[in-house]
Amino acid sequence: MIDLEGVGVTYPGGVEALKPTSLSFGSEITVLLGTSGAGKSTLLRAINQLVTPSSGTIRSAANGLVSGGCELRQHRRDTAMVFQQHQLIGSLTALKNVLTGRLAYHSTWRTLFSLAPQDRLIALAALERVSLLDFALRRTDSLSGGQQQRVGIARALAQQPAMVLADEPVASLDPATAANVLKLLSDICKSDGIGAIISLHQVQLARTFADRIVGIVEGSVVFDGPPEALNDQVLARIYRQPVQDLAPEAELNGSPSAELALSLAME
Amino acid sequence: MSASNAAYDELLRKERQTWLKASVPGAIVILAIAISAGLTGLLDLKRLGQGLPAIGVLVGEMFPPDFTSARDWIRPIFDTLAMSIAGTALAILLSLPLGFLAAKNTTPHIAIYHATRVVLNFLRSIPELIMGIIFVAAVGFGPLPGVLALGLHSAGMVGKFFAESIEHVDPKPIEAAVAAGATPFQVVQYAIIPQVLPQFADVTIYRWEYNFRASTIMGMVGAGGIGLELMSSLRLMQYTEVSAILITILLMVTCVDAIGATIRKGLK
Repeated sequence: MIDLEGVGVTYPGGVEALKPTSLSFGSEITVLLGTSGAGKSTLLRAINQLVTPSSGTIRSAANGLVSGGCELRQHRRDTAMVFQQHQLIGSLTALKNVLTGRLAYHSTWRTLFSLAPQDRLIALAALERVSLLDFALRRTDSLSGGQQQRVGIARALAQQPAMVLADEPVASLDPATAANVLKLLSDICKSDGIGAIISLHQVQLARTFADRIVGIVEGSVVFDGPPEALNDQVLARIYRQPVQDLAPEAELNGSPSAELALSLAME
Repeated sequence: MSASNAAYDELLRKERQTWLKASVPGAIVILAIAISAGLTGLLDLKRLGQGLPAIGVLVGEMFPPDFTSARDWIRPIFDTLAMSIAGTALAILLSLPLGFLAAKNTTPHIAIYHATRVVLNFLRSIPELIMGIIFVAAVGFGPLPGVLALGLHSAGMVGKFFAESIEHVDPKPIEAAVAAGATPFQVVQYAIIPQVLPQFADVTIYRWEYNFRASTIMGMVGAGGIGLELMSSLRLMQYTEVSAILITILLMVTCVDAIGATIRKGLK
């Protein structure tokens, strides 16, 4: 459970990327929708303070008020992030990349030489969850885009988090792989009782996987409700143009191949 | 039609202008070369012509190479090799902390960044031979002052290389490590070092090759090794022995470069 109270972000130079926002996130799957630059990434990065909020407070059930130092480290450990570009080190093995997720469990001195065997077992278990155990000792730059993102998800799982923050996790993947990866992520979150906040571009995927949808326009929340309430009117407000103008995107999401991919992924 | 012709002419005129602009730096370079050659006497053909026979005489005196005292060079050769390895190790030891302090993305403070850059420039700008003279005065003759001179001078160069590769790392894995709750030192160890290790190793091997070449002349200032033998033969004007030592050094340098190239290939 994470509570945002009046959290706003103004970047140096005066751009107000996120207007003071109050939101609560539990163990459901929340999808953030909005145009590029609407503030989805800023909101996600404010939650784990990769971007320092200029106003407001963040409170988590486990760690209380998150300010800095020890609590921030624990808070980051409990809120694992999955990135659009995967953010892996290509020259390292999948296992080594996943082990990064274990760092916050130990002091700097403890990790100076190597992580504990226990951590390696947790990392391998995480790789098994995403069906990549056989690729554990492969360099990540030899893996496909979908496999790389699954390594990214395994790294997040290795943190044994209470919440996963995913910043456009499937934006750099093809439609079929995107649906697969998203299904994997949502299945794991559901079965482990992990909450997830996922920013997405594809309305179709949002409707399929979300328990709750939050629409953001110019740094403000304009919609917060269940996927069934996401009608054309709401979409027009989020994307700031009539729905018929969204045709290219609607077509893309409703295209036979995407539908097929989705149905395949759902099986 | 005429409108597009006018547009063509305009584009061609612009192209000529950029060509003219590009030729200015070229002209400056040529001028600088001409002035430098004149100042240093490279264009003084008469003097060059007179020098040529003298070189011929000297080369003649160097022939045939005299390897009779080659047994006495074995220890100095090993001293030289040891000097280059120990000096490179010292340079790396100093460069690792200096490199991280002198990289914008890992320095704890901008003032420390600038201070470290000054230190690196300072180390780099004192030639190793001058450092050798200073250390011979400080710790006495032998390979030790050579090691110190090579190590400190190399740290100036290697530290700068390290800092630059650290500054060019992909920031994305760093963000991932921070997001996972890693401490700043854990970020350095688990997100930065794996990325820069191949470059670090490459620079280190290169520097070892360079240091071996540099260590062959360290003996000239009393810092031990094969250079000391070379210097004494030169002083005694035993040019046949000088040529033999030069050939020995050439063979050693070739060997070291080949070893270095093999190691670097293995790193790829």
